[in-house]
Amino acid sequence: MDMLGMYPTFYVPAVGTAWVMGIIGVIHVVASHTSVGASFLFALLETKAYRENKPELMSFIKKYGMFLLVFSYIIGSITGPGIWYAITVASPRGVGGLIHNFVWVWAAEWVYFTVEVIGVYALVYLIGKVDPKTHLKLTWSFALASWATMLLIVGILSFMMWPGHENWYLTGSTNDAFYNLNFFAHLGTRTGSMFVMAAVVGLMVASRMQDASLRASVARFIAPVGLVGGLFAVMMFLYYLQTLPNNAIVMLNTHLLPVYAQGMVAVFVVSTLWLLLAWWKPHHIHTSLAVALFAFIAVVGVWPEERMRESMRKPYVAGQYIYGNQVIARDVPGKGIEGEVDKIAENGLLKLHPFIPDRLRTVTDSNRLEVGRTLAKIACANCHALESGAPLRNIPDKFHGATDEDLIAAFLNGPLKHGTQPYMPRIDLPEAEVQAIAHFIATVNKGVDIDAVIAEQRTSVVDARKD
Amino acid sequence: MDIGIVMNTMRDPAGVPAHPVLFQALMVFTWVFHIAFVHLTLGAAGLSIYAFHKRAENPNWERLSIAMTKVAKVGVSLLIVLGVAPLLFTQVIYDPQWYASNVLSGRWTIAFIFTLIVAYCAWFVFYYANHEGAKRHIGLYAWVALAGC
Repeated sequence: MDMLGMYPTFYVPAVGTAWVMGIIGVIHVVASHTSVGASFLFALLETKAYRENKPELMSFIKKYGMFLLVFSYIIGSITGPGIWYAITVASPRGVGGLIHNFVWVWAAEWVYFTVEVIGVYALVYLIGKVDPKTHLKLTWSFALASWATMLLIVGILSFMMWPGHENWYLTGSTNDAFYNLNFFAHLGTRTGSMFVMAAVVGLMVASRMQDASLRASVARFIAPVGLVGGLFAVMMFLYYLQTLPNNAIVMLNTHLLPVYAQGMVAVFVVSTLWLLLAWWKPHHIHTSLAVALFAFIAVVGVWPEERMRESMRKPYVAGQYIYGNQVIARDVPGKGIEGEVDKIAENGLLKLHPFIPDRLRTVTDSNRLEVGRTLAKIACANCHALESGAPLRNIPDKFHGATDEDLIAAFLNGPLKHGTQPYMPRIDLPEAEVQAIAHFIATVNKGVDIDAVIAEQRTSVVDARKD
Repeated sequence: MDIGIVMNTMRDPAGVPAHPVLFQALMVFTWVFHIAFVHLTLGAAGLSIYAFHKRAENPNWERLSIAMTKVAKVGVSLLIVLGVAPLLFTQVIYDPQWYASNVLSGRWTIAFIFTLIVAYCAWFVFYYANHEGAKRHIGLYAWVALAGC
């Protein structure tokens, strides 16, 4: 029998794997952007210290470097593989597709990452132990290696949005995937914003320095770097918006900007004012204020930004060929990949999915509810929670609590079957499976205890077999 | 349903960009360094805690404890970096086994990340507190960290 290479679904109630991934991802982005941005701050500051013979500036680099070692590198390097683990359990086929495309890019990134981690230890512990010129070269090498990790991962991340051209689908070439349409815009946005993050964290570190004149000179140095970075990030973000696919633009205008636009403007204004204040009156940067600003940017800036990038990409998780629900959306002749939507329409998920228990492969009156729940988890749960009131675009509320199975089935047999919702996959299922999902959703909306009913149905089936 | 057929179907249809033996060799080669640092770190952490509790007997135990705390601190960050490469190469050639097992034990996979963060932070608290004449209760952080790892 024909099978599809699908994996089991890991379902996290209420928030889904999407939020698990989001939380780990945001922590990682904050830590990693700070680290990469700081590496360039160090290189620029150390160049100044070397040229103007101001070795006292090195004490700031040492303090900031120690701070990064304790926070950024621990948290950053655990959450980096952490994202990997999270996407593995959320979208195994998505991450598999990326790995099979980009294994050598990732391997190269790992080499730079290793240089970066060894580099940060060397940088911090060799201050004053090697001659200044050697140390300066070390710091610049560290900065370039750090940025190389960002450059390489951004190629992969922006391919997740889309290749932006047909070439990759035909050639399957890693270069066609890596140099996708939004690669440079995305890299520019992150490169600019890493200077803002590094400057904001740098002000936190500087605010703890005892020597007031040194504190002022450091703040006056890093504030303009952050401002220029921020301006560059905004310009590149506007360019980035021009490189997005149509489904992303629709999602952005209808769902995301109405919620997040004000926050984004607020983050831009507040961080600009903060950096201007640090430049103008460096004696006013108190630690508590600096920490509050950092938290504000992380929560109101980074979380929505990452969330938007993840949401805009929908219905796809990677390269506009893998849907969020793990189904291959289209043929990729260059890689020998075949679309699966029509196969599923013809044979149904129950027959083609390797991990369906045998007792659920055929829909009966006594297993319809459980089949419906299983199918909803497979087909919908990557983007939707199945409990009413849950934060992840929960399905019961999307149907406004409808208990009419025909009404729910009409949506499944209409927009969903024909793929007319711009940010939803085309999910074309045989009638029995549509009815099972509609039955499940209607039952949830009736407020029935699903687990209890399913448990009861399963025991009665077992009892019937015994008889 | 034949498990062999299912495993074959679950392989990524994109195939592998080089001979699988190359990835296998790279996987084993990079794994050696990862697991060497895992052993070093766990051993150093265990020794550091043991020496910490014996430090009243002889000042050398205290010196050993402080030194081993540093070894474990740097060890963790290197073992994480060195773990990334075998993680990558494993997924290239063993994707059906790797993804199926990860998804089926998803809560352990995710819990591992947060446990490691807590453990690493606890070890840093211990590292900063573990100097001459340190108080006994700081050993608790070390135990939390070791349990977490």
